Parts: sequence; C-alpha cells; structure tokens
Amino acid sequence: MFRDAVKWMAGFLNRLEEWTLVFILLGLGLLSFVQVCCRYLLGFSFIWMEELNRYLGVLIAFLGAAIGVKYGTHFSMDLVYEKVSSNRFRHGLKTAVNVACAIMFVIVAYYGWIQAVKLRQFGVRTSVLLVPKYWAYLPIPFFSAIMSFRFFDLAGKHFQAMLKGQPFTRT
Amino acid sequence: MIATIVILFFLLLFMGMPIAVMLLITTTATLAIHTNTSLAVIPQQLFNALDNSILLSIPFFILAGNVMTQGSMARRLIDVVNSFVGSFPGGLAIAGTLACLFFAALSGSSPATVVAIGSVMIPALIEAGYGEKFSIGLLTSAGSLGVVIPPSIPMILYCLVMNTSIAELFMAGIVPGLLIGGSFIAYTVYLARKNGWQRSRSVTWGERLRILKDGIWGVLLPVIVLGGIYAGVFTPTEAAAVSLVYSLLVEICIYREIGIRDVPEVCIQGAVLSGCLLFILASAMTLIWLLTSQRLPHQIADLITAHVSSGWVFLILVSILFLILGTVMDNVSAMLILSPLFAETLGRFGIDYIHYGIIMVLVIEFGFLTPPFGLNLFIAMGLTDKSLVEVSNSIWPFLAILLFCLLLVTFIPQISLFLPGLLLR
Amino acid sequence: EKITAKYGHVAPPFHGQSKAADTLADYVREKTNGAVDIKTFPFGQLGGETSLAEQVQTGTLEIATVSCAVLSNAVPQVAVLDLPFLFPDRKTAYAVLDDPEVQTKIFSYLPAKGFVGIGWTENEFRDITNSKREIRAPEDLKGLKIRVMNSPIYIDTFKALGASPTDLPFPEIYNALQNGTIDAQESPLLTSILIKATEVTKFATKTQHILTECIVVVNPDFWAKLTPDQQKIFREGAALGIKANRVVNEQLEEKLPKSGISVDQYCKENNVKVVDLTPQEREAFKAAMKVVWDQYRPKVGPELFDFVQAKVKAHSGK
Ligand code: NA
Ligand code: NA
Repeated sequence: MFRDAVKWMAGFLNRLEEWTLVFILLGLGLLSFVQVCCRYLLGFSFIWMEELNRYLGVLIAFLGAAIGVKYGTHFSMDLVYEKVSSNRFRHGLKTAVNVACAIMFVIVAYYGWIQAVKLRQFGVRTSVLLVPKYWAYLPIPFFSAIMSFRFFDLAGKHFQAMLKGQPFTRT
Repeated sequence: MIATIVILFFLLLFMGMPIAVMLLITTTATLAIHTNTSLAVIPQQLFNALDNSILLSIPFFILAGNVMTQGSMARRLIDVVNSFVGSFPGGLAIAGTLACLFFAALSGSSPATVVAIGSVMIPALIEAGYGEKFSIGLLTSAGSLGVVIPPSIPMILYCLVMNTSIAELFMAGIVPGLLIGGSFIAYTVYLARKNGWQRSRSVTWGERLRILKDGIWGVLLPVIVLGGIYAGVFTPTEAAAVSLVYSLLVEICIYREIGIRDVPEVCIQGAVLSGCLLFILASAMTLIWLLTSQRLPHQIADLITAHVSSGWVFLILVSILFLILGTVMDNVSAMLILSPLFAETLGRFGIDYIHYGIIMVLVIEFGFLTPPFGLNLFIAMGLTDKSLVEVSNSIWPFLAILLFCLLLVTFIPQISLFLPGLLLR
Repeated sequence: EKITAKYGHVAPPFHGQSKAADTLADYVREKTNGAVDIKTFPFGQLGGETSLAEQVQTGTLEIATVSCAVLSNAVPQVAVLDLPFLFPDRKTAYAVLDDPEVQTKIFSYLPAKGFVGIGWTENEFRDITNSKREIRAPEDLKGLKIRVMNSPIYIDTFKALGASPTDLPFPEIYNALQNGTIDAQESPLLTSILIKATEVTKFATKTQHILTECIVVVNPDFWAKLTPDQQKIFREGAALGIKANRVVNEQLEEKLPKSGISVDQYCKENNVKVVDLTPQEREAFKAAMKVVWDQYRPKVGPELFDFVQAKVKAHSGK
C-alpha cells in the first residue's frame, strides 16, 4: 500500500517535470508569437518579454539537463565501452564517471544556493519585471541537486552490476 | 595549467563522461588547483551564459523539427519535390536531395533532417533499384545540409559565443548550402547516366498541382521564416517561435496529423535534447571564461601569428584540426570552445567572423559524417539496420564532394559573404 | 606579498572607459611598486554588466565598472544620476560628478549591497537615432519602436515620451533597425556609429537625455585586505582614470577608430541628419519628464533627490 503510493508519487513527479518543461517552452513560443503579431500589427510590444525569455531559459536548460540524466540524453563519447569487452571494467568505469558527475553537481548546487542567498540578502531585483533576482538563480541549486541524486543512483546501479558481473548494455 | 586542462579534458572525454559535465569538471578542478578564485564563479558563469534570450531559439527550432517530422509535413514535402523532378534520369535521387535541401530550410539540425527525409527516401530509393550503398550514402550526407542551410542550430551557437549577428550568418549559409546540394545532384545525374538508372513515370501538371496544394503549408514555411526575418516582421530568435507555432497549427488544425493531446508526447524528446544542448553551451562558456581570465586567447594569438604566415594557412590548419577532432567527437562542442579561443587570432589575420563561421558549420557538417563518431551515421544505422562499417563505406564519395566544397568556401570568401553583403551591409 | 586582481568591464579596448581601467591599473602597479597587480578585461570577456556586478558582490571578481542603470537593480539610489535631462550641459555634469560631497554621498549606499565605490567611468551622453523622422520635440517620439537600455528609469522615460520601448540582445540591434523590426535606438552617437546603427537610421538627435555614468566598484573583502595607503592609491588611480576617459572620448569624437575621421565628418559623408536641440527644445523635453521625476523622487529617497538637484543647481552656469 505504502509502496504503491511512493511509486505513484515518483511517477507523478517524473511526469510533472516533463510536462513543466514542455509547457514552459510551448508557452514561451506562443507568447513570442503573440509579441510578433502585436508589434507588427499594433506597434506595441511587451518590454518584459526579453527578460522573461532569459530567466526561463536558465530554468529550461537546467530542467532539461536534469531530465536528460534520467534518460541518458547527454552527449558523451562511448568509444571505450565498445572497444573493451570486460563487463566488470565497463561497469566499474561507469560507476566512477557517475560518482564524479554526482560530486560535480553537489558543488554546483551548493555554490548556486550560496549565490541565491547572497542575492536575496543584497535585495537585488531584475530590471524589467522588478522581481527578486534570486528567483532566477533557484533552478541552478534545485536541479543540480536532482542531477546529483540521479548520478549517484546510476553509480549505485553500475556498482551493483559490477559486483554481480552482469552484462553491460548501452543505454 | 594548460596541461591540467588538456589532460582532464581528454581523460574524462575518453572515459565516456557526458561532455557537458566533463567541461564543468575540467573547469572546476583547474580553478581549484591553479587559482584562488572561489568556486562560486561556476554557477555565476553558467547563469551568465544562459542569460541570453537568443538561445531560446534552439529549443524552438528543435521542437518545430520534431513536430514536422512526426506530423506529415516532411512526407508531403517529399511528394511535392518528387512530382516535379521524379521524371528526370535519377529523378527519385534528385528528389531526395532536393527534399533534404527544403527540409533543411525548415529544420535547424542535421540528424533531424536525416530522420525526416531518410526514413522515407532510403527505402524508396533502394526499392527503385538505386543500390543500397548509393541510397544510404546520399541521404545520410544530404541530411547534413540541415546545419548549412538556415535556420541552423550550430550557427546560432556560434553567434552566441562569438557575439555576431545571426541574421548575417543565416544569410551566409544559403549559397554554400546550395553549392553542396547542387554538387550532390550533379554527382547523382552523372551516376544515373553512367548506370542507366530508370526514370519514374512522369506526372501530369494537374497531379502536380494537386500534390503541391496538399503540401503547400510546408513549402510556405521557409518563405515565411526567411522572408519574415528580412522583411523586419521578426528577429531570428522570434522566427524560431513563429515556426514552432506555425508547424503546430498546420499539423493540428489543417493536416490533423497530430491531436492536441499528442503535443506533449511529440515535444518532450526535443525539449530534453535542447536542455542538454544548452547545458553543453553553458559549460563550454564557463571553461571559456576560465581560459579568458588567464589571458589564453591572447597567448594563443601570439603563438599562432608567430608561427603561421597567413590567414589562409591558419584556416587550412584549423579545418584539418576539426576534421581530425570530428572523427572522435561532436564538433559542435569543439567549435564552442575553440572559436572564442581563436577570436583574437582571427582579428589579427583580418578574417571575417561570418566567413569563419561558415567554415565552422561545414567542418561540423563533416563531423556528422565521419566515423567512428558521427551522429548522422548512427541515425542511418538505426534507419537501415546496417553496421557502422557498411554505412561509413557508403558515404566516401559524398565526403570527397564535401571536402571540395569546403575548399571552395574557404578560399573564395565571396561564396559566403556575397549574399549578406548584398542584403545586409 | 603580491596582491593580484581582475578588473572587468564591457567597453571595447579603444574606448575611453578602457583607458580609464588601464590608467587605474597602471597607476596602482606603479605607485605600489608592483605589490598590487591589476589585470584588465575589456569587452565583457568576464561577463555582462549584470554578471560583473554579481561577481564583485560575491568576491569572484575584485573590480568592475558597472553602469548606474545596472547597478540600480541592487542599489536603487544610484538611479538618481539617470534622471532624464538631469544635467543642463556637460560642464555642469562633470562639476557635479567631481564634487567630493556628491561622490561620498552616492557611494555611501554601496557597501550595504556588497560594493565599495571608488570612482567613475563614463560612456558619454545618450542620443537617439531613428529611421522615421527628425526628432525635435517629445511628440516626435510617439509610437516609435525604440530599443532602450534594460533599466526601469530608461523604460519609464521612453514610455513617458509615448514611444514603445523594447529590448533586444545587442548583436540583433543592427539587423532589427535595418529591416524595420524596430525604428529607433538610444545610445551615445559615438556608440551608434561604432555599432553601425547610423548606417540604417539616418536621423540622429543629440537629445543627451542621460549621461551613461558607471561606478568603479570593488569587492569589500578585497578592499579590506588593502592598506589605507593602497586604498588611497586606488582612489587616486580612479580619479586619473575618469580624466583619461573623458579625454579619449573627446578624441574619439574627432578621430573615429579605423576611418580616422570625426563624428561630424562621418555624419556628413554618410548622410546622417544630426539635430542639435535648442535650449527651448531641451526645456520641452525636460518638462515632459516631470512624471518620471515625480515617480523617482520617492524611489531614490527625497533627501538624496533634493541633494543632487541642489548640487546641479549650485554647479550650473558657472
Ligand atoms: Na537548416
Ligand atoms: Na565524426
């Protein structure tokens, strides 16, 4: 019962992040389109459009990258995994790579958080929307933490596979 | 310090680490070892790189490409082109190349063009007796026009790191793109004559018009996008949004190939892909920040101008470097790092940023096609169930043609600079 | 022990602001006998202005020049120098800015926000170029799609003038003006020529609406590491810097980079119609700005607002 609830919750969060990404992108696309029509036909434009695009762009990059870790979308050069046939070696190397990535994102999350806290403390605002600037920074610590978690998870899976000597399959 | 960067870069790259994270770790480790700057600069520079409204055009163009491929625009475009040139000798192959040229004007990416046109045309060509080798080679190579003909995602990325005008670079890609497409067609016609390839049955003008009417919305999009940019209706960034909204409207309301409920499903893959691409851009610019703060572009310019006699030699050397790099990695990442690094050198040799940008786009196109690491090759493998060796063997003649075009574009800057000079300067 | 520092700004290397930065760096190196070594990074190599400000606040960058427009996001008070048509002329502006009381007062708002202000640099008075018509009165701006600096007071200024302010990334400006996506842009005429905007917008009006003043900001922790003597040397270097800045900008007016001709001659040769506002025309613009002034008096604080007004009055016409 409890397990089912957790599973459902995880599935829901997974879909939530994907839907958020798609809807923000489509929403911005639509807004830009409306902006073009307004400016061309009515000589009127939204001055806040540029700023909104810039700050949501940060969100999109980090959110997309976080989902990318889940699906293995990130580009990498996997030559070594094709040339070497030892399963244990390949799982071991993947474990090391994923641990390194996870630690990297712990660092990004930590310093991103510090940056957001400082901006909040100094009361910096954005130039057009006049909202607190630290909002724009929050996706960095938040999604870096998620990426870190996912990389640790992947590392754990490869580590177990290495111990058990399971065959290596490309994802 | 340079040693640290180079060693980490290649070590982590060959360990199969995601390129974006590899760049970040290289930067972070070098910072921690060789400077006393706080690591707080990492999120700051990631943010600074992404804090730019131009880069949203990348997800927009990628999504628009997905919508057109998963809808029916790509297929209808092929029908239109085929109805016009199908009856020439080697007609179906010419139609395939032209369809790639056309789709390239809709899509910003090279693998997407191979998927959209190749998935239909490769089986069709093989069935019509053009031979597996030629069919796979032609479509895999012609698909790479996706990055040369505007819109083009590598062009947008180049303009982002070099701070130059997207409208100009887009314009500069048109003639080289047509040159390459034209050369492929010429080669096709030559082979068709030599091998006596059959013509398909000819189509009446009535049928042509009917097919054109069916496909008109797809044919109109490049006109709208490029026309809109140069008539001042929108900026290149907004053009991306316009083409996304347009293709959604056409596929949902007119062709009814995509239901409104399918939209998230159609878009999610492209959205995640663009997130990853933007992340590479941000990581690359963080490394560039580190290199710049150590005055490396300046030292490199000193070194190069001391040893390389002219801009031409420099361009040749850079092309060779990229052709080699492109065999083992994604040239887009290499371009992101190396272009700003060479910026001062370009200035000293008086090389136009736009001309250099087109050369970059061509070597990126090459990188998509050279084994062992070539995205287009992987796509073709997926489409045809052939091995990497078989696919690679099919593209050599086309690589030779591309190399010839690259030389022409390098040594005759007017090929790329003529059109922007005429219309924009 | 040797102290090293990075100094970032966004001006191109030949510009007066670059000269100001280099002057400060050279002066400090010389006067401290090399104990403090400042490396300058022009052209936004270390980041855009907003990023530079944040880097100084967190100590990842030691020194930067940041325009009041951008700085006002963290320190709303500095917007007082961006009030449209604040300075009647250049001489008054320089007298006010060089007044030690004004500097002390304005810089006093910075430390609470993570900056130490040590001096100015300047990117000239701002003008308007457009592709539609001669601009002589506030009404002429009605309905113009104009690209403005991304800062509240700039946006409010052009809204008050009836224009439609919009923002575009810098590299897009030229093409957007050329093909008519936008009609106008506001920046110093010198800058307009340098970014080639004058090739596609043939009407230039020397509105001189805002002086693009920048503050040389230093990270407080770094500042605290310097001895009082060294701090004094920094301030002297900054004072020499703004002088060099103004001289170079004046020289650039007479001798543009590459072509080597003067701004006037360039405008003649390229059919750029330059309008100089008469004192009456300027008054009309200033009158139209009353809404903006009223809006910003409470925003920057009435006391500071009146203080600056009094200083402008005291220094004008001398
Ligand atoms: Na394209
Ligand atoms: Na390759």
